[in-house]
Amino acid sequence: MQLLVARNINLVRNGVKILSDCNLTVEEGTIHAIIGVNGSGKTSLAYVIMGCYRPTSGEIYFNGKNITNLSITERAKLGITLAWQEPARIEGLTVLDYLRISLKGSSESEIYEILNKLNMPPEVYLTRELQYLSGGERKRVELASVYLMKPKLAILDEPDSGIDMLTLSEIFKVIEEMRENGSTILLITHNENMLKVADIASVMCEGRILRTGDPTEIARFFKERCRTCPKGLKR
Amino acid sequence: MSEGVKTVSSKVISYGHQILRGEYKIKGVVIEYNRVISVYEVPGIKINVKSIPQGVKIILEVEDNVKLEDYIHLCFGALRSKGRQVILAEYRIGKNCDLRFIKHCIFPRAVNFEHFMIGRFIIGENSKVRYFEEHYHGVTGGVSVKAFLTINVLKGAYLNTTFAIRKGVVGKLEWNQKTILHEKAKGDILFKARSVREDEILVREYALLLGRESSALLRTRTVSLDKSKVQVVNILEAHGSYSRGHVDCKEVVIGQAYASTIPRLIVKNPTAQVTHEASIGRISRKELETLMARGLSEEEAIEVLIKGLLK
Repeated sequence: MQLLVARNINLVRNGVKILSDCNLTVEEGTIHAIIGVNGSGKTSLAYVIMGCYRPTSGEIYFNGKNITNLSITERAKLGITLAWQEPARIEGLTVLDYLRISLKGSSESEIYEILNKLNMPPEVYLTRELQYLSGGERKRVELASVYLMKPKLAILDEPDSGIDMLTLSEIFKVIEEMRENGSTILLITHNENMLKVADIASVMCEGRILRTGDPTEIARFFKERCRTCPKGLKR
Repeated sequence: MSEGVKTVSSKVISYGHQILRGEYKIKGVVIEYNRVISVYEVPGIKINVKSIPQGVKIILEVEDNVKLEDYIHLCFGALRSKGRQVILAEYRIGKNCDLRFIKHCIFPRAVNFEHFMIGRFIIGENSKVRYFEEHYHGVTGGVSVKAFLTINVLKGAYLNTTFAIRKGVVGKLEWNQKTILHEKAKGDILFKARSVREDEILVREYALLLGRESSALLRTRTVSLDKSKVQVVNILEAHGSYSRGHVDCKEVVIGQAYASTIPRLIVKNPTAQVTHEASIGRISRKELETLMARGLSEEEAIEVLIKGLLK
């Protein structure tokens, strides 16, 4: 079943065309990876799906419903959420304060469980303020926050950036667990190694989806074509 | 906004009344207008309070080497709705002390009331003092506060002060704090305020890095809503060799409010260094969107961000 359909999405910001007739379909229950070089429009597409950017033209359907004009909050209430590539340094908010926002009535023990899964001992991290965490720590807290929301669609924007190799395997496990728990994952990355966890993958280039298929094949395509593409390298 | 202010006020008013009537026994001093409600001295600390026609004169002396885990509580307020209260305060802290003060200024019923305070602190050598002052001015906006503080932080001492007004309506507030840091002294000075309706806040924070290797951090966090007005002046002046200072000012403006900030940095020694950063304006869009992506409405997200900023 199609959970998300983005149809002919165009996005122009400050006179620059960022997304160009971009089409994407995400099947329910899958881990769908989008790979592309820097500047190919991956994060902008994520922002359009989350509602942070309004597309110049095109439509977005979620569970069959047109959500193009819904606010971020309305989309979040329908079950869409986003783990930011660079999580905000919100002043005064502790890890516990932030994760409680995602809980929505569930038991606080879930916070302890997910922090342990991400190699973040709760006794060390719960009282720490977000603004004083390192980039890698904030990325893991961001993933924990999305996990606790139990979303229908979790958009994870480069969850691997700033993460060491040891922790990366924990992140893979958490992403897979989210899928097992019923979430569909839209995984945005520029690292072909991340495609290992995906069921399906798409390559993005110059604001549009170039090709969609088996992650191994897409990884090879990306390595051979996009990595050496002069347009990609120029960026 | 008004509803929120009223809900908060009923609890604070009730608490304020109990404190000012002397229903709680606290380690420190409780003053209601010019009446001394209670003085609770602890070993090593001498408190001398004298009534004057419109207020009190207080001298608090701490002997050398006094270290307390409990807070010393100072509560100055008034239950009357009109009038003027004058507080003349002098705090002399000895050497090698480790103390924490918490001061409340409560004017729950004020309609047309002025609170005028002149405070002088001397923090003895190698002492460590944390001073937290919180104000509650009721809901009418009829309070006018003028405070002038001069703090001398002597050799090797550490001072941490926080002023906060986060609930109710401010009225008019003028806060002037001058901190003089001697050799190897450190100061961490924070001012936090939330202004609503037609509140007017003027903050002047001045740190003088007088001694060699002295350091200071001046931080200001304000949130201005409705038609309120906040003006902040942070001055950092470095004279001491290898002294260091930083000004960090963040002012958020919502609605038709007005905010301004003026950082002034003066260096009179080539080995000293002072820096500043300031942001003023709307709440960060990214922070808002982060919280909205977790299902909070824009209003709820703003409230969370304001609470965090003024925490």
